[in-house]
Amino acid sequence: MLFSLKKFYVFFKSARMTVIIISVMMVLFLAGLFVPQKTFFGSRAKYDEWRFASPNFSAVVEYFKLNEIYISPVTVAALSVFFIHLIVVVLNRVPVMLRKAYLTGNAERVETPDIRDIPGTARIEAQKDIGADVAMAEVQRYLRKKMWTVLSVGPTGLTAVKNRYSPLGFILFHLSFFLCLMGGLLVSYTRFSGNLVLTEGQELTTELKHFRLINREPKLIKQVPLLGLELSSVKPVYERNIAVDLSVNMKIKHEGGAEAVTLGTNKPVNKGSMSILPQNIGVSPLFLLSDMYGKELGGGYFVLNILKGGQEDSFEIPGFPYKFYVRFYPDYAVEDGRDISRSLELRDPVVFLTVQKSGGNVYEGRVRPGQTVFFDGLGMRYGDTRYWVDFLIVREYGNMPLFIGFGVGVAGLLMRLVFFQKEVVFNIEKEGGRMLIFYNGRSEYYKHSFKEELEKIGRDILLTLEQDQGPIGGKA
Amino acid sequence: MREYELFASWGIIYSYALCTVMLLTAFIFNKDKLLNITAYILLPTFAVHSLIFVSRWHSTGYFPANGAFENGITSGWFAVGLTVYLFVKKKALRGVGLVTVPATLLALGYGIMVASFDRPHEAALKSSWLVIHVAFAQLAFGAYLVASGLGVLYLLKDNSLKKSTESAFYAKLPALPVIDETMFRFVVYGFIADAIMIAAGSIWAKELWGSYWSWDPVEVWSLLAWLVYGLTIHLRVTLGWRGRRLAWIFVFAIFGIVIAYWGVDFMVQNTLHVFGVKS
Ligand code: HEM
Repeated sequence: MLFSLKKFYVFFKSARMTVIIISVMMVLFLAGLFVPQKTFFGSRAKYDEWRFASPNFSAVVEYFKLNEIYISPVTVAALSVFFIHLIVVVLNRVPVMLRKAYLTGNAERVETPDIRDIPGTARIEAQKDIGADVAMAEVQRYLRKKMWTVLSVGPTGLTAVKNRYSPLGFILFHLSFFLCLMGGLLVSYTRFSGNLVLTEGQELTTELKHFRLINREPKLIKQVPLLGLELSSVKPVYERNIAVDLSVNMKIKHEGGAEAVTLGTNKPVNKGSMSILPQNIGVSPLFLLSDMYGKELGGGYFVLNILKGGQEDSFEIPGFPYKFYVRFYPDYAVEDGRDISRSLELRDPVVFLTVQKSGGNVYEGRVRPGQTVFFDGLGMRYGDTRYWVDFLIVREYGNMPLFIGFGVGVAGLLMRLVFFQKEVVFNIEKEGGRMLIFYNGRSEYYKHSFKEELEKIGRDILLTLEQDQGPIGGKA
Repeated sequence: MREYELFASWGIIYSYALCTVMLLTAFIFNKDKLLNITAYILLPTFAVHSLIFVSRWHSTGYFPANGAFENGITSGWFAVGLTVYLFVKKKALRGVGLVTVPATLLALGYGIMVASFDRPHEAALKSSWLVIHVAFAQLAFGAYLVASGLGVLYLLKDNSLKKSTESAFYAKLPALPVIDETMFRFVVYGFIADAIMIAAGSIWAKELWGSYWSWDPVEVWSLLAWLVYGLTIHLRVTLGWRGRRLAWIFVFAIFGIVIAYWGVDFMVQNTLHVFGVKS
């Protein structure tokens, strides 16, 4: 039993296991694109239709909750294994990486080896008679200038390392996954998200009852900060019916103070943990119902989905048996006998109003702002048109670990993969009045390409010696 | 789109088509001279390509990423740019054009056919995060594409070495380990750019859509593509894979990116990302 546990542990922390667990996660993510997800279906009816059409497959999918694969127990289990494996490996490798970065006291114990007879060792030969100590000092000076760290200087040579701390990049990069996980979990557990609609001139607070839709309730920290939101004005800019700009001016009231802000697409407002984003806009026409004497009986601004031109939406006025259908033309024109809108700008708004009672039409016609239409002894006045904005309001914590995670991750990658470690060893020897400098080295990842760099180091050092020490020749 | 931009764009498309034919011919018939001549055509073509890139940026005021055509211009610019870099710096590896040039030709040809040029710049595309997100995405794509091209060169050279007499054409390519390392170098650059692309994309998503990550199909494919490259780096660094096996993987790994970039728009209806394929 113990033996097999040990064997399991050895396998669990192996590089092969890393490949396996990353592959498993990839398969799960991939499955989410092919196994029908709940979000694929627009409605419950569509979903049921699919269930009915493939009962066996859908039963398996539902049993394992693969229709919400990214939060299904299978994925959560795989992710847990991923992170447990990661922490085990990282912990195991921390000492190795510290050693590689010469941080465990081993820098002091580095001894320069004899490389003269090792394959790949190159040689520079100084013709002129210079002292070994001068040559040694020159080589060190050159290396330091080129950002190498000299690790050991012995009587016959020296050892140096470039990008000494690079191995720590491994720890940083892989650790950043934990920061992202922490941020992700925090965001996910504290996320409140809902949609709230405001018409120009209207003010509401972020009390839950004012939300049109609550997309997500937080599992932790349920209390959403109370803000007062007042929509002052909205200015969309369209070019050929494409929204190219949006300015939403509003006042945000918070803890007794009020602040005027301008929001837009890509320009949310963040108030502490709260983000407010304009997600959609539309128009609210003002309709006021009155009796024959002009006495107001009901009505107001109605938030309708009619901005795109020609779309129909409807509303009712409580206490009256009518249904009002509205089609809207923000920039009215007639083309080939048909009502059209030239643009999405509110240049000449016209409403096509149909009033129905018990399924039959009691009024149908075009109305301009300021006009009143009459039916069943009542008058209906179309006042002005204002914009409404559907705001997505999000409250979540965890931005900080996420941002730090991104930063640390990228920094770790750069450290490890761009500024990778290289080592060089020099042996300096005086032989029959000649100064011989032997050098060799190695680099992480790019053994072969490093040969060129090493040759260049040799050439440069020779040049340095020549400049400082007068005429000396040599060969690499 | 200005007239001269359109004219120049067709010009570079024809020129890339010519380069593609020349590169293919050079490799099929092992003609080294033809490779040299291709360089003389590719370099000025890239110069014109760069002018179009700058001109689009200048005339619209935004980083070119609006619709299939601008995306083709930008992605091609990075892919060919890296190829030109190799043409100049490591002449022996200029054969990577065999992959990067036809890929650019496809992206540009497709873009010019389907894009509606005077599509206004949507408010959603006006963000500094977009510039970082797209620029790093295209840089990653270019670097991966070069790695894929190097993979092809590696396999071709290796095949030629297996024959009793190595052809003089392939003898001019660098030694296999050098191609292998250069291939890895480009994967690494792509991988880092890809990581920055995903991080910037998720920060932008928070500003535009309100959440960092929505498991949108394009997000999932991008993550998958990145993981594939992460996996290959592991195979090399921790399991010591080299040579043919890895070259084959790098040749095909590019398809993850291609699917994320083009495929998803075709396959699914419910993605928030539209790169202009449906425009
Ligand atoms: C269970 C999860 C993982 C484990 C246990 C793990 C482990 C390791 C180990 C041991 C190394 C070699 C370090 C060295 O000797 O230099 C490494 C390198 C690397 N890994 Fe991972 N890894 C994991 C997940 C990932 C993921 C998901 C990615 C990205 C997609 C990734 C990207 C890299 C990269 C780029 C390197 C090379 C740079 C470096 O050494 O840091 N790893 N990993």
